[in-house]
Amino acid sequence: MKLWNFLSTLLITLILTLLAFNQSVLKYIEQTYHWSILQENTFLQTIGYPAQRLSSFAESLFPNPSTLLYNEPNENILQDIQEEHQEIPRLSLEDGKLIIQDYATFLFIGDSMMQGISMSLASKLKKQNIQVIDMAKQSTGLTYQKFFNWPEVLENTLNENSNIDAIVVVLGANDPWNIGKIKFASLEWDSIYSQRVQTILELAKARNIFVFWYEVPMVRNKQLNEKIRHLNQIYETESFLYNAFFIKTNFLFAPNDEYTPEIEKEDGKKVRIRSNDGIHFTPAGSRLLSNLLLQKIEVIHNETEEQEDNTMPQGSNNE
Amino acid sequence: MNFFSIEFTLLFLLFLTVYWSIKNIKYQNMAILVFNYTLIVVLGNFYIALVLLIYSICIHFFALWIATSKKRFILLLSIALAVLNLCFFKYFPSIKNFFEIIFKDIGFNDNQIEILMPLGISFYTFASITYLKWVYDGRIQNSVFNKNLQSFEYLASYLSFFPTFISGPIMRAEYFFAQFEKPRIWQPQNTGLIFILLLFGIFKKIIIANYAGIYTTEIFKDPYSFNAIELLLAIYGYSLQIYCDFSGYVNLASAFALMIGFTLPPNFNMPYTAKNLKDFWSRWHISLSTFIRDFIYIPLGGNKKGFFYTQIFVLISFGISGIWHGNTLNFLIWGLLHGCGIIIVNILQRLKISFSFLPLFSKLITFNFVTFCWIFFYYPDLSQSLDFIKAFKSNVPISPENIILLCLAFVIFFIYQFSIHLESFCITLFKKIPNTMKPLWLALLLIVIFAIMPSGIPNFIYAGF
Repeated sequence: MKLWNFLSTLLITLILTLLAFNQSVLKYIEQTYHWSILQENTFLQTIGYPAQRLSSFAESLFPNPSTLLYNEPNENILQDIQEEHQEIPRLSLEDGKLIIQDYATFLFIGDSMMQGISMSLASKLKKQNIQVIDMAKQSTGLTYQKFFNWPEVLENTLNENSNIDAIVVVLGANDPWNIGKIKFASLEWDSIYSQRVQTILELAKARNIFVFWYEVPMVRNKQLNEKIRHLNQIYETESFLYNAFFIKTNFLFAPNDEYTPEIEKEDGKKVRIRSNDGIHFTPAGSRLLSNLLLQKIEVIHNETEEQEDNTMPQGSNNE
Repeated sequence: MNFFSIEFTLLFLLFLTVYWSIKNIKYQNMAILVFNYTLIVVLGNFYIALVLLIYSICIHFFALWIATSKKRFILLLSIALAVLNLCFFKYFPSIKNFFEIIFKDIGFNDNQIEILMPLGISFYTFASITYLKWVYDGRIQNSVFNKNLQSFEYLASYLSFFPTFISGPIMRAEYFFAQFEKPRIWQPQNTGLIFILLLFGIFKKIIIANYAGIYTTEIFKDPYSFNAIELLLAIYGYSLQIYCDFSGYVNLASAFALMIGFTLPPNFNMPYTAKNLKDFWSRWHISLSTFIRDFIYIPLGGNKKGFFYTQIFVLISFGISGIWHGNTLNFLIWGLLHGCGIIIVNILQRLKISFSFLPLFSKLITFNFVTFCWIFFYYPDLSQSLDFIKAFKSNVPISPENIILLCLAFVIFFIYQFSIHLESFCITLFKKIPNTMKPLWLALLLIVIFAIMPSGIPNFIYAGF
């Protein structure tokens, strides 16, 4: 194959592939460069349809295990326990702590920060016989709903899973951008964004589901932090209005209001809590964040054997 | 720097067009240097480029010093400083407390120092060591001339060479400059190989490694919830994941290099068909194992100081190899386990005990040993690795599906032994497609691959080393 022939083969292959995935490419452009183009173009949508169908088909064949129950218990055991304790509400508030019956189900939603927390939180909850559905997806948020629409996904998930008792949310790191032509942090932007937060909280409230909303930990990029502070205010206000637990993180992750990659342990040794990118968490950071939530809950074990085995309250889980 | 990004693809296509439209080799080489640094800044960041530039200046200075002094001591000093630089960036998180105390003592406030390990530093450090040694070898007594000494621009191009920048393979200086100095003409016979390498690389990384990673992560996260067969499948899965991740990267890097007229050294040769551990290390990450052989094992004494010392040198070399991956006890254990494995092979060979009459059995034993060692490679903490091993004793019931999957894994392992000619078969097949139809077939294959891939492409595992 001659050089020009080789280059043209590469170019045509690239164009055909980009055309097939044009919707994903356009969403990527919007999310990465905050530039919204051609998304409503019917011609492009039609061209991209077969690849989209193929993706959906593949997803149905190979579902991501993280979107399934974290560790599905034996269905019969679960049914027996639920029937036995059906009169007991699975969640109640006591002294500022959420009392949870074991075999309750937690749903995780959010971005890659949530995925980071999930590394530790999911297994810790599971050890307490709490089921976890982890739906966190990297690069997602509430600003670019064409890329990923959390309220819609959440509604579908809640409709399909009537047994969800609590939702854990971490969102925001991908959100501090304009919505179309509406400038970030303008009154109009705040109103739209707050509405999206409210939709999530409303969906939970309508089903008596408790919500834990994490404050977004500050990141290394100082300019981004200004915006994250603004988002955190929205989350805190809305959480307060909807009686959700707003889990403050920055007293540990940004003491003196400044990002820190590590913290000092009681023995004086320093432990790194943030990964090299200045955004995500190390396993130690993930454990620390998990503990912030675990301190707010107490799991009641209904089986005698397990009560004997788990005499330590969750909040005392100091790492 | 992500080979799968749209940005990389577009920049690379643009570069290819410009590169091949230049007929003068000097300007072609200049284009490579500009493109290398453009990629590092645009797809990485300025910090990575700055560290690399300063490092290249230092190496150039060391090379001049070696060339003029012609002393072995200067070579050793230069290599020691290059290694020290690598250790500083690589192990800084572990020694930062010490630096913070010093800074405090000399009057700086207690602001935390954060120094990140720049992308590619391991591999360009190895490359620079081979360059320094090559310059030393090129000395001529009673003459100022050194045939191996390169200009700064050439050295900078070598150390930043984009196909090998992130994770190698380690391209030795003599191997690189032999190609860099020769006029490059487009080799039409390579096109089939280029496209097949691209397809193999993409498929291995984003389908096999990605799905294997999804499957294994769930089990590695919480081993006590899984039965012994599932745990076994998880480590087999990780063996598959790390192989496809790294060899997929090398396939892509080789294809990019071929597109600009360079051939990379081989880095993998069906490693899971190895008959013993020695054979495995002649097939896995070949450029690193030969680097360790030539720059650690042989200088230590190699096999020249008797059988006992040979085994000690083997152990030291593998220990260093482990520590290079990361300064954790687990990486050291991983390296030492391989070292011990090699010693056992050496002893068996000395006692003339061979299992060559049972080739599949030897291969299975080797594969299972390598796979077992990955448990220490995967987890950062020893306690987590031990937990994983202890979990084999847990009483989670085994289902018929588990047994079927395990049998399937063995069938795949068996079939894999016969896939040695797969690449050449695919090239022949590709060549049979008329040129006008090639873009359609390629696009169709890529569309299917991208459509069935799981969401998101994790970084290459070896980019973290």
